[in-house]
Amino acid sequence: MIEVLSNSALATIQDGGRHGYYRDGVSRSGAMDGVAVAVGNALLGNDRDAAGIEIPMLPFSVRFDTGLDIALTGADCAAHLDDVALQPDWAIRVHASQVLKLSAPKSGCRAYLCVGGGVDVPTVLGSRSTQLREGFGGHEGRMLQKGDRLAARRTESVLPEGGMGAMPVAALMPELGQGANVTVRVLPAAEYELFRPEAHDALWSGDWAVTPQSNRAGYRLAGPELQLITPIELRSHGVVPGVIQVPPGGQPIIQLADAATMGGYPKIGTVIEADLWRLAQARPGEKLNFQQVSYEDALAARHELDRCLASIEAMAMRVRAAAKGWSR
Amino acid sequence: MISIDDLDRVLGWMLKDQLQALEVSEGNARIRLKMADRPGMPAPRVEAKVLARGLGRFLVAHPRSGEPALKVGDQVVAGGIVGFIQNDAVLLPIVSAHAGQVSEVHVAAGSLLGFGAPVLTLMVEP
Repeated sequence: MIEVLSNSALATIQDGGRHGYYRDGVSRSGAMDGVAVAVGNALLGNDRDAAGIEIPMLPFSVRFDTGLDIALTGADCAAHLDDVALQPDWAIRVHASQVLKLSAPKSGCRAYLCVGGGVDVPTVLGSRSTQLREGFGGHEGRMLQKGDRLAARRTESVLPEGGMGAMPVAALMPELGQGANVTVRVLPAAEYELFRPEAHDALWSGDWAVTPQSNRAGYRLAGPELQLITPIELRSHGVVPGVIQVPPGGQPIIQLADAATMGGYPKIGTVIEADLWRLAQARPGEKLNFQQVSYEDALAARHELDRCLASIEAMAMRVRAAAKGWSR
Repeated sequence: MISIDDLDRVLGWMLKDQLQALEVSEGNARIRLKMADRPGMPAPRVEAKVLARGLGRFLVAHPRSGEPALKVGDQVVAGGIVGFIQNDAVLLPIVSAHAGQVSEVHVAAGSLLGFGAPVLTLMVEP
């Protein structure tokens, strides 16, 4: 079992997301940085979508009361297992009574704690993710609290002595953009043509600051004002994670994992699915740049990310098998 | 009174703990034992090699850390990670079983390591 020691709010159990219930008004939920969870699961030999703990507010600490395989991925937050520093993107066997402590992140803003087999909570509507607004899924449908106890679905170890890690995914993928800003790829959306030409220029060339009013539901951005040619009123329509809405006032909102499934603001663009994990690690104050791509580019990017994750999974499996052979 | 047996026992402790000299006082009696000088002999130390426990490319530091590479003279702790083996997308740690001081680095950053290849030689304090 894992016992939550800190009172740090906002930590939730998340997996690959609750897909297929948009028609019922159930948003996707799931890990904001799905790549970090997939990497943790790859190191542990779990299913890609096994449930982990998303930790957006640090410090955070847990105590283990059984031996357990764990992986810590996502934001690099100077983690320590008892007094020993834990490497970033690392999987290791922990022992009973060991304490894992995460401190303020050096980079990124969401850490993920994955465990052997995934966190053992009931599956609701096909997912173990916490559906915060509706209060179901995850652990009792809520954020984790001090004293909560969680079980892993596998306790035997598959890891080599000393553990193993993954190369940073950003280093395995072609570089996006330049400089300190976070670049994500964006498709023009349905109402794109209803915005003024200056708004188009601003979208593609502007620096878009992530404001503190940003969370799992969406990121509010600050930047140049995006103006419509003429004001329009839209009926509410389906909205998916990644959609960039522009409310009156012209400051865009990117809808994310816990966003409502419907909305009526005009949509100027959509961050492609393959880049949503990059947004998840952008901190308030960091600036985004949007790079225009086509639908075909978006599909190719998704396939590329899938291939990258599949290669981490395959190599992790080979290294685990080889280490097992050498230790005999 | 100090007997010959006592001296023998004290000499045994000195050898075991590598003491060069030992002085014992009791009332007015005092005895001082000193090892024979062996000029030019280095302090007794033991070498230990840190070996690669996997196949791949040698990384001197984690790609997200930017820590400097270990060099001759650096201290390492028992159980500490002294480098990484990169096998495509996966990293294995290179762990030192002993605490000691690096006396030789056998491989250059980025070079390929075979299983069991020596990575570092340490001078381990006995």
